Amino acid sequence: MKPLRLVAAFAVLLLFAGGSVRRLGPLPRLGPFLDPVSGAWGLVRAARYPATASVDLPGLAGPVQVLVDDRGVPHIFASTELDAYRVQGWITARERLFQLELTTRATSGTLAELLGPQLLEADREVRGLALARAADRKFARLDTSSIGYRAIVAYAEGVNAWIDALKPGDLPLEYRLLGRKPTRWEPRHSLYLFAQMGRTLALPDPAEPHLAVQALVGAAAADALVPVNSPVQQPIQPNGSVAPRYALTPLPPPGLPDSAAALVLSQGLKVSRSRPDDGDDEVVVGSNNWAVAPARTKAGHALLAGDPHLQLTLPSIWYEAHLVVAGELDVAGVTLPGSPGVVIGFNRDVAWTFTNTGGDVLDVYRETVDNPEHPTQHLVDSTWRPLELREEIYRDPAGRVLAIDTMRFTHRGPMRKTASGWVSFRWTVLEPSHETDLFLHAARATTADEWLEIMRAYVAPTQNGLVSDRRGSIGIRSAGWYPIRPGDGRGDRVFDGSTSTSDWTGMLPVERYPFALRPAQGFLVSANQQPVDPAHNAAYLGADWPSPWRAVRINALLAADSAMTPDAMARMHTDPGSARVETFLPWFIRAAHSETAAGRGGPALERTLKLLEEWDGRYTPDNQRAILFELAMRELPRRLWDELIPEGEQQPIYRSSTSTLLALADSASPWWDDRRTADTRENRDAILSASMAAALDSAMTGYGEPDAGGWRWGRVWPTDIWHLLPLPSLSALAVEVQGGPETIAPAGRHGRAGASWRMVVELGEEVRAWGTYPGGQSGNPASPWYANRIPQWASGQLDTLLLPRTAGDLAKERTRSTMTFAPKANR
Amino acid sequence: MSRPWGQGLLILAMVAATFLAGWWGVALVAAAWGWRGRARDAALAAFVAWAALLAWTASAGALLPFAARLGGIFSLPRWAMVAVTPLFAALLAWGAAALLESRKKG
Repeated sequence: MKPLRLVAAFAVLLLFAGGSVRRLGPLPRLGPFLDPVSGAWGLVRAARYPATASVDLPGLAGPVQVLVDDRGVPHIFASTELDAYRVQGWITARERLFQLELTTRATSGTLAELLGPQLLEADREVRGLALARAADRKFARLDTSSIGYRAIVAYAEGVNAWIDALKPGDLPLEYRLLGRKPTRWEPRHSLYLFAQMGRTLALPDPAEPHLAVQALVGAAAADALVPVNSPVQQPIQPNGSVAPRYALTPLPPPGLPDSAAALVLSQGLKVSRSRPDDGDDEVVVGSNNWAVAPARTKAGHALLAGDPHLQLTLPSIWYEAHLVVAGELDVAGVTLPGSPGVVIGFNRDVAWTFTNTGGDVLDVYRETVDNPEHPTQHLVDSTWRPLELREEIYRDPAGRVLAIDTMRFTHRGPMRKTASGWVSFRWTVLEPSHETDLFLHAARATTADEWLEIMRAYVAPTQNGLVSDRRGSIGIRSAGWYPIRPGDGRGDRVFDGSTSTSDWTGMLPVERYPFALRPAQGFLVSANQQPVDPAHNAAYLGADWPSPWRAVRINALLAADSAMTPDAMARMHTDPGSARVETFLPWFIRAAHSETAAGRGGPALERTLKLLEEWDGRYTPDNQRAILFELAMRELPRRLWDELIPEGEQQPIYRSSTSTLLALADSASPWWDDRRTADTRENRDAILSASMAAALDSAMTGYGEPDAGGWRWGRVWPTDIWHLLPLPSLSALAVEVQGGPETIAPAGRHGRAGASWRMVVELGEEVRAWGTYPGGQSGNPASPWYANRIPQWASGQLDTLLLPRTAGDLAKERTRSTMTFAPKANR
Repeated sequence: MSRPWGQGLLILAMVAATFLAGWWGVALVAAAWGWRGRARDAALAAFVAWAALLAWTASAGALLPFAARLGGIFSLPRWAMVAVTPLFAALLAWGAAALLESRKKG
């Protein structure tokens, strides 16, 4: 027995001790992971804030007191602004350290170094955009005496102070799973966040969808289907009409394929994501904001609401905080982990929030190069100009080289090799800017006018900055650089890079930005719609604008209520109604009646008609008819836009509800004829009816009988909030929400995006504010604040935000921790 | 020293060693015990020590919900995720102690 026992002991020791020294496959090192004191279980203890604590923090000018309330929000009371940002960095690192690093790597294209070689192509994609290079250059140009620079440095010091003092039990779970340690935070990384936001919000180039459509059906059709101006005008800058203005011009018939456009398309950038559209499950990126002037509120105070729609993750993209420097600063709201200050929020006098303008701020240029394989020069005005070359080395977690690429740059920007040659692109996101300074200054504004004045200098991505103040002013400006282009000024094309006449000649003056202040109508709304009615201002700002339905709905709700309250504003965030439904549902119903009356119906159509007529048009979680409408809206493009379905594909390359509206207005349009049915010439009602019948079939197949429970909207159209890595058990999946495509709270089926923060602010004698986001303050899955806000967010509720003026003002029963940070001499 | 007292001291030693040196501490204490005592006692002490430490951790926060999340990563139910922790310590301790015990018995 003895040898067997010896062998068994050795084997057990080898497995468990060995597996604790080195990873066994994908498993973390067992001993360090399972250690109940300093292993992963230690995160349970680390999640807890001490009732009181003293922290030595290098670099502080004076003591800083932080009170963490029962919502997990830190209220930072400092004697200097830089101290506030330093502590903000520390506490953000405490809660979101892994997120800080992941975001940095996602921008710098070094994910493979952390997560493995499978991220190599993702890294190549992002390095091809040169975001980190641009951010590094911006940082190098910052005025070191500016508050923006000093704040970034102070923030970084706070982050690194946390890292330096990290105890084994504090190491975030993600690092344990990956077998890695945190890397130090560099001040320039704060600028990476804005670069990443630029990638999220300002990357699509309308040239691509326009060329793609033109390649299939010709220029005239492309101009109509992917227009510069939306056929439904509900602009951000009021145009004198609260109701939307419809400019439904007849669609030109589909033309012949345009091979030249196809060639140009092949030379394009090909980094554009499909534009968010009501037919797209996955992408619901955009935002809403609206403000109401005192004359239209019940209490006589300005009201402001906002909800930026972004990727929903655990932890959240936002971190809530409150920063106070007596007599200088008192600002609350949401911060971007990694950047000092508050991005969306309010002080005692002013509240602000943003939506994405979606301006056309990226242009692609066909370049003529000296060597198609390894270019070193490009031709401009018959002169060869040298390219800037930059070596990009990609490594794996062990530091081994995975690949080495050479990035090339013209005077316009990064280059990329395409199927038929080289292109470069110029993008305002890569231009020099100083967002941090602006946001920090804006947080001290005392009037809407002052806030708007500060934000005039904002560069990219273009944003509709909405502001209200305690005096009752409301205002909005679609700020950011809008390039002035040669010729007709349009940017929805690929330019000839061999001539300098293709280059931008400047930027639109701020005075021509979409703008409104103290509007006569008494409210302002932005929901990513075209910002200005072209009938009032024809300056080219972009093309292929997102659908206007959220804007139409919000405008309608505000116009109907001249005594707005904070509760009503909050309810609007998850309003289940839909201007899109109000627009399109009647068409389906009329078509079905028409076909039925003509004897061309059938049992399926009749049943679908009956079911849709029962629907109240709302996207509530218990609703059992909304799915039928959505499926019909999905069936319709495949039949209507068959000319836009390339050979071998199933779906049209482009579809938008506003283009569909143009087709609906013309029952005899040739677009309605499905060319795949050679013996039949369809019309509008036939296609709509066929879409309805197909939708019923799809619904029954997928979800069973209509009232058996399977059609329940909350069940069939949930939202998924994924962990950053993404690990299902650390995520919140299949969250039932109120809202659907193009409702005020837009939702995709198992969509990963949505309202990342909801806020309502009333600027009365005392500012009152309410807010929430789908996640929790902590990135520690062991924390009760990890995902605690999700049920509240899903149900449309908002928390009352606490705003103590001094540390003594926060009620004891609402205080979970009091931490005192004291200066520590640098060693 | 009676066995219960000895076992109790061993458990305390495992707890202290975990604080001082993590899983290494468990292995070292178990190996030292293996010179004089039985491997099964070391395994039992390690199991109890780490179970107690888990209970101590649970007093600081919501251990079970976290166990569910953690277990989900490894496709384990939360009870298994909790159980595997002291089990790991027990097996590690047994291996270290048994190795020395076997050599001692020669």
